Amino acid sequence: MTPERLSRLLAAYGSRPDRWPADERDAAMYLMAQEPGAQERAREEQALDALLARHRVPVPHAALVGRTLAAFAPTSGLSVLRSWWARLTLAGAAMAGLAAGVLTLDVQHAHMANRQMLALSDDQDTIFATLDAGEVTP
Amino acid sequence: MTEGADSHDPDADLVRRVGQGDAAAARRMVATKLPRLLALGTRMLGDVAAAEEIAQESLLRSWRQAPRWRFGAARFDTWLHQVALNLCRDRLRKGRRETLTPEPPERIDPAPLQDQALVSGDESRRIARALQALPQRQREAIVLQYYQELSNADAAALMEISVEALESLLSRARRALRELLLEMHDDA
Repeated sequence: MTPERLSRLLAAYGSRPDRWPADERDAAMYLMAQEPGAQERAREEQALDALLARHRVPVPHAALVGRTLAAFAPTSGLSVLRSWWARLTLAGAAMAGLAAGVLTLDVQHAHMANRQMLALSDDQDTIFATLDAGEVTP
Repeated sequence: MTEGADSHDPDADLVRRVGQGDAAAARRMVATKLPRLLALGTRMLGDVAAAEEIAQESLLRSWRQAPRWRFGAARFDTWLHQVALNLCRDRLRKGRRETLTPEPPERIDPAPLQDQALVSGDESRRIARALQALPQRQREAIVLQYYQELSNADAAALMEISVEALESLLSRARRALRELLLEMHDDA
C-alpha cells in the first residue's frame, strides 16, 4: 500500500474502510493511521459520504407490492392446482367435443350410406337418366 | 462489501422456494428486493413512476426465472440488478431519443424533477438533482457501489468494465457530486 493508492481508494470508495477492497483494507487502514494527510483526506470524504447518505428514496407503496405479488399468483401452489384443474377441464371438454363430433359424423355417414343403398337398390329415374341396375358397378 | 460473487448466495433458499411456488417466499422476496430495486430505479432515472415500473418488471421476470435458476452461476441479487439496470438503460435511451438530447446536461436544470414531492426535504432534492446531473456511467457507478452497496467486482461486472475503470468512474462521480452540491449550496 502506498500513499497514492490510499488516496485513490478514498477518492473512489469514500471514507468507510468496509467499502474498500477487502484485500487492501488492512494495509490501507494501517497506512492511514500513520499519515496525517490521509486522515485529513478521509475527513473530507466522510463529509461527502454523510451528505450522500441523506438522499431519501420512496418506499414501495401497498398498491405496488400488491401488483407485484399478483403477478406471482399463477405459480403459487393453489393457483397451480387451479391451473391444472382448468387445463384438465378444458382437455376433457375438448375430448368430449371430439368424441361427439366423431359420433355425429359416424351417424351421418351411416345414414348417408343407408340412403345411398336405398337409392341404388331400386331402379329409379335420376335427373340424368333411368338408372339401370345393371349399370351399377359394385 | 468489496468481495466478488462467491459460491454462497444468501438468496439461494429464497429463490428455490419461490421457484417451487411458495407464496410466503414470494412475499419475502418482494419485501427485501422491491425497496432495493425501487431505490436503484429512482436514483438512476430521477422518476419515481418509471422506477416503480422497472422494479415491478424486474421482479416479474424473477418469478419466471426462479423455477429454472442455476445455483452457483451468479448471485441472484446481482442478476436482479442486471435486469433492473438494463431496463433503466432502455428507459434512458428511449428518453434521449424522444427529447433529442444526446448527452445529459453538464449543468443542473433548475426545474424540479418529476415526482420530487415524494423525496422530501430540500437537501434530499438537491442530492437527487446532483445525481441526475452526472453523466450516466458515473451515475451507474455511484448508484451501484455506494447506494446499492454492491461489491466493486459485481458493480464492475454489471457495467462490463474492469475494477480499475470502475474506480476511475467512482472518483470522477464523487468529485463531480462534491462540486455540484457545493455549487447548489452556494446558490441556495
